[in-house]
Amino acid sequence: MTTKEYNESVDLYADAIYRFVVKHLRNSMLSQDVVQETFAKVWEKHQEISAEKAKSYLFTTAYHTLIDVIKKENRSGSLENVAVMPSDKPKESFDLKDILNEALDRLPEIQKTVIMLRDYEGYAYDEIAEITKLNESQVKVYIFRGRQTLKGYLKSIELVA
Amino acid sequence: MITRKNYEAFYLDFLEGTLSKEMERAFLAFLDANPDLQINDDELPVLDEETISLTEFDKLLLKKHDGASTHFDSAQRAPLSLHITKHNIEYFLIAQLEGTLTEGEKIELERWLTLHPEYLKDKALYAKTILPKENIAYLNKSDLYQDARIIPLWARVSSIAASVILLIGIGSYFTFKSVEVDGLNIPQFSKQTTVPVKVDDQGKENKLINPAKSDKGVTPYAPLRESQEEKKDNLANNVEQPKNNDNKELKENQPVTNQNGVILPDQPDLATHVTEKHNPETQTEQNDYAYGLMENPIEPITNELSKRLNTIIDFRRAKETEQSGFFIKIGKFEFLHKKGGKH
Repeated sequence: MTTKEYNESVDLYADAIYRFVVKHLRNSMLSQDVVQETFAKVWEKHQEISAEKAKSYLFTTAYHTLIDVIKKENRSGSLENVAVMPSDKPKESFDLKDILNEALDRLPEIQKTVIMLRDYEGYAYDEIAEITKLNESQVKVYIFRGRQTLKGYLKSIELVA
Repeated sequence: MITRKNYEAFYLDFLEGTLSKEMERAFLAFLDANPDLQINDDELPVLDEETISLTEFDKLLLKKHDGASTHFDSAQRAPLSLHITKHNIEYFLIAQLEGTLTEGEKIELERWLTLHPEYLKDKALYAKTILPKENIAYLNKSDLYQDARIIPLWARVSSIAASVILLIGIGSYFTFKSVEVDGLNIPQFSKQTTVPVKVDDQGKENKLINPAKSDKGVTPYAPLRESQEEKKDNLANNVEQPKNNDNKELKENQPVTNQNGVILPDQPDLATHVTEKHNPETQTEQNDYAYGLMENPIEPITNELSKRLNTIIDFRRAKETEQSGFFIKIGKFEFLHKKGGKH
């Protein structure tokens, strides 16, 4: 990947990487740090990465950087302080996007990750497996279980409404 | 001997049916003697088979398919042999959403939903679990760009252009800033002038030379400060003459190097370069004019610019008041302004 191609990757994928990270961390500053670190890591190896693989490489790097940050922040407890924690009661807002975000926050991190990669980035199971270092069957199980939970949450909101 | 302290182990063996006949009779006698220790059937913990068993949904997730078992492309695998039921319908609804059903399974699902329309609502709810696109922008992209983006070519060109403008400005200042005193045009600046000096192999003897006649093998080539009168005489004679020099001046004659230790072209190279570009007939005149009759009053500046831009940069102005003009060289670009015009 040339410098020009790297800079094009910034234009093409920085937003998506940031969205992917901030949806997990719910913290803008921390998410920006992860994006910076992700691109810095990719730049270090940009000569070994082909332009076609740039997106996958960026998401893989972002995912693993994200996991490290979550582990670190959870140990220190700082993430829990800033994250938007899901409430026990169903949200009163009935905007579908808000409800889905609320439901998404209730999912285990790995289910959240695979569903976001699937829906936001349109990755196939094998690509998600490559990014998350899972196998395809695991990816499928996490997606199916995640969707089942999301649907259950939506149904509970409808019942309340 | 069964006591109130150890009876639990015997009780478990009794319930499991592993006590011998003799021990069983002994244990039942103990319970009769201690009725408060007896456990009713409904008090015994019984594992609920239904709560620990996997659902049909879970089982379907575990199942592999004929053909490409690790691929979920519906076109690459055989259809599931199981029938759709109320217990596994959710799996098929999600699979339809994910696009992993075969054509046969899709038809079967649609047929089943026709028979069980109450599940159409679940189908609609699953469709809503697809996350809608969100426009979240990362605002600090400029921090992520690397050099090629940050310092474009135009910036380098601009730096050279700025240098040209700076030199022309300085040249104009030195060339045209003169005052009239009693009808004579006298330059306001009377800075020490420079004359080319030739140094022998031992570096002990310096001679004034005419740059136009200097051979290329003579290095280094550096200015030597002298008075205007001495300079005029030397140039008028145009003959090599011995001249004293001191160690300080010899040190100044050392080649100029850039930050990487690369020796930068010095003045002889500049003179040689000038002659390469021009007609041999005018070459002597140019060199005479640029180096014989001109001086560089801003030598530290031009040397610094040469180092920074890694290219030859020189500026000279006329020494004599009657020969106003200046000469600028930046790399291959040369500009000579005399009273008569530009060259």
